[in-house]
Amino acid sequence: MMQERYASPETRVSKWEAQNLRAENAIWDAAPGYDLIPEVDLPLFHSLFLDGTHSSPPVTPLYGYMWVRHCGLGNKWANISLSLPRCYGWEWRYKDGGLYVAFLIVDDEKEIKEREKKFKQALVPYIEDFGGIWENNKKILMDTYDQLKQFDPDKASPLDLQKHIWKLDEAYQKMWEIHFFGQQTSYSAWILLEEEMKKRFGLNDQSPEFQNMMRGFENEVYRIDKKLWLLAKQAVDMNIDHFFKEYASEKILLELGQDPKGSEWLKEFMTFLHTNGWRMVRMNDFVDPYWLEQPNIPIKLIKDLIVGGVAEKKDYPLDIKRKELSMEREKTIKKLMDKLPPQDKDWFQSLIKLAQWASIYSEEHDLYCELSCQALMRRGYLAVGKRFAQEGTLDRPDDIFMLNPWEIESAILLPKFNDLRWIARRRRTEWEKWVTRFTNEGEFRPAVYTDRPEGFEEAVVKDLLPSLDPICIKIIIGDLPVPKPQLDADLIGLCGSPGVAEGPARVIINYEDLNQLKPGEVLVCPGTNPAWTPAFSLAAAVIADRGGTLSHTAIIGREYGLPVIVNTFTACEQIRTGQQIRVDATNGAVFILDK
Amino acid sequence: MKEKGLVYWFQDLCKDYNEIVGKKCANLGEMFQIGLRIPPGFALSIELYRKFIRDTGLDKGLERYIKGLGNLNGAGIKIFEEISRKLRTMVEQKEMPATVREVIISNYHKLSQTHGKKNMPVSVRSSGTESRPGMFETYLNVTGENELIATVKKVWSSSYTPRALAFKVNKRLPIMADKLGVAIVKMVNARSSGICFTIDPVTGDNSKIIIEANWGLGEGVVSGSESIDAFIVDKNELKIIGSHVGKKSKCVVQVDNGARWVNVPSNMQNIACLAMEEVVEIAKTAKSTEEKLGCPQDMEWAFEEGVPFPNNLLWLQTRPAKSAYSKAHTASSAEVADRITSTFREIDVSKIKGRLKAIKFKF
Repeated sequence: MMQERYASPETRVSKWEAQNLRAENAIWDAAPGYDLIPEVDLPLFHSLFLDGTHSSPPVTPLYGYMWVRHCGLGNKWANISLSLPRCYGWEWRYKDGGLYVAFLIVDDEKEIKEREKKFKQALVPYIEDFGGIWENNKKILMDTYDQLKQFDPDKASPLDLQKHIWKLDEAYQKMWEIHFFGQQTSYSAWILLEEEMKKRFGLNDQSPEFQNMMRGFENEVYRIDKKLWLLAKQAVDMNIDHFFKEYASEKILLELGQDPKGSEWLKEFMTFLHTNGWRMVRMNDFVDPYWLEQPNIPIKLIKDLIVGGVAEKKDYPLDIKRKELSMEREKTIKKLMDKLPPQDKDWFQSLIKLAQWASIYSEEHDLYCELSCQALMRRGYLAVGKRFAQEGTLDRPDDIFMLNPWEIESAILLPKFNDLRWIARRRRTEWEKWVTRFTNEGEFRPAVYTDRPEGFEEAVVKDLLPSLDPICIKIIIGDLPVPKPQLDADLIGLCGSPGVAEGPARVIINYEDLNQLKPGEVLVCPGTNPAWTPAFSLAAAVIADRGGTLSHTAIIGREYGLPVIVNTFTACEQIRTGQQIRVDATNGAVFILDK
Repeated sequence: MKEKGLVYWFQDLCKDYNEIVGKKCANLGEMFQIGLRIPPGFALSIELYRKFIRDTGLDKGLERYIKGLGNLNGAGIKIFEEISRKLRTMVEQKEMPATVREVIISNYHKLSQTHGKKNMPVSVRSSGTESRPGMFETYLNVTGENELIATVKKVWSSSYTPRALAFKVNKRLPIMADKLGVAIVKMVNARSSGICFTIDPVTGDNSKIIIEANWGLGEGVVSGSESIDAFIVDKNELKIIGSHVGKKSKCVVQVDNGARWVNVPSNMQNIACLAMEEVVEIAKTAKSTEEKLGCPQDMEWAFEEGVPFPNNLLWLQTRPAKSAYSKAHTASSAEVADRITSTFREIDVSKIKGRLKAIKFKF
């Protein structure tokens, strides 16, 4: 009998304990080949920078491993194919749930010149038809995802499930392979346009004239927002809006299901969800659900539209705004064109066109790349996790996120003969420790591992800036607010979206607290990501402590026509909820009116 | 917000009036403002339509009927046809209120009188604030008060064609339409008409201007089924560098109460429908329009019978050349690539240095 030959899971644990096998005496091997080991990595790279945007709070080992492998591969491939003059690519490492990156810098001037030649050629197709290339890539991604969606991981044989996991791996690789081209090319154009505007008209990318040329565009993210609005509107038209007003979002689905009109509406809603619900709430990690898995999430968004009265409006507010903004945009461009000498009009037109993609692509790719692909990955991994938990291979399904793909592979066909709990438990203990620490203390991990004696600043100047990588210049470094004493403002930041507004402040640090925001308030936050978008239809203005002119906060603010100030650094500390605030975004100035 | 008048003459409009008179009319006004010769005419504003449905009580009637339809998702074309018939009849059978009628007729007479006619033949076109499929009804060669009033109602009701209804239901848009403007334009007695691109729509080459032409009205070119004439003009030099004379066996001409395809007399089939100076005149105007509007244009023009050159060239429409506009042409893209590359050389890293407090990733 099997029981005699093989000890039960419980017995095995007691055996480990007897032998004192614990986390601290095992090596850290969550991302084999990519674990950050300062003794090995610093002599080669000098500096590795923490990517706080994509790994705060600390990410799980599986997510970290997938990221360092595939994002790294994708970035390197983009820089290689585009032949970025001064940056070979980025090298990623994983440590303490953090994603660390080293920039591989080209120093040799002769080599730089050679690379510049190739870079010029590589840019041409993007200048000519960025839209066409992105359309095609979207199609590739959607086709890949559609095939994966057909698969039923719960009913599959273990071998088919493993094959599915490999396909997910391939899809993720494909996604990252596409991801960086759009940014490197459109951000490059943005940088040149800003330089030209500075030289010719003294305008940087914070000026309304610049920003007005870059907004008023439709994209898939807004189309989905509008579908939610239409569903909300339909609920109002069908007189079932009281369900949304009366019940908490967790109960709304249940209540609707028991009402004939409600069930009719639910059918529409589910159709929507099957098309648009493959979308993670959280951008970076697998641990939170996607919409289709947890329909309460979009239900909550619809509830907000109904309760806030937006669903009763005749037209979708953003549509009206967009029409105004796009008219404004064409006027601004026309005015600019009139000021240009004839020989410059032609290429300037192409340049603006490509730079405009920086905003559009920034938002749209989040959806097509990370949010969609990772939703499928979560489903696939969790299906394996469930089987592992049933067989005693893991303690719980979501412990699958504590493993790496090779460990998963080793156990997938005959889980019960593979005990991965000893790995998962110690990694979970570690991961939870980081997350708790992060929640309590904020960022506890060093911003950089470096062998530069003067530390952070020297590391940035020597090991990051010389890469002149467009993402580095525009997004990672960004611009810093220039002090403007004449304004006598309480806080200075960058103009993310022009305009002036006044209202009571609402300081929100965590996404979970976003529902406290009331219409007309000034949202003050550390930064935003796609999950925060609904806030932009409520707030009078947004102040974000971090972010540049191409951050999510700035781009969304521009499309909603909302004043936005970014890079204020200390607004969350200096402003208290309830204080009356005046936001002069055009000048990047914040005034606290009742100190 | 601009004043909400009931009627606007094209010369008083510009593209800012989109929400007041609809796209078609606002565009004609904008064309006038940038100096293009357009056929005279006036716009019935969206407000006038609203007044019509308010004064006749149609607003309530339509709303009641539409509400009663319930959810139309998944309805078949038969159902849309039936609803369309009902809705269009509701609009068209309503007596035009005297005030509304007076506004239309007085302006119509003004248009007729300025051209020394009692009843000027006009075309009546819908002018919505957004382009929607199946919503563009055009009635050509409309003459006289009663016919004009009936036609205006037909244009208003054309937002309820089966196709427009299906589109709206599909896109979850409200069925009830209220943003309906109407263009009333003097009928152009066109000898030849056609289109003009200031960029090659296929290759994206913007050094050339492409003109296509046929005898008669523009409908004989736009629908693209007949063999027609084509000319290529060098944009810089304004010289004809290529031409093709097609065998034009059919064209569209005005007839009583409308327009229709007729056979082209055999002696006119194989000769070019434009003189060389006319081709150049079209190209010259198109080029300056592109310069004024800042992007390649897709334009419609006509030469009017019995008017001396060059005043006989009229422009009926201009819009950004869609497919071509999205692609830059090769010469300028090489230049952009070149400039992007050098800008990276010029970026002064030392400026960033010293102001650095923190870094932030976003991609």
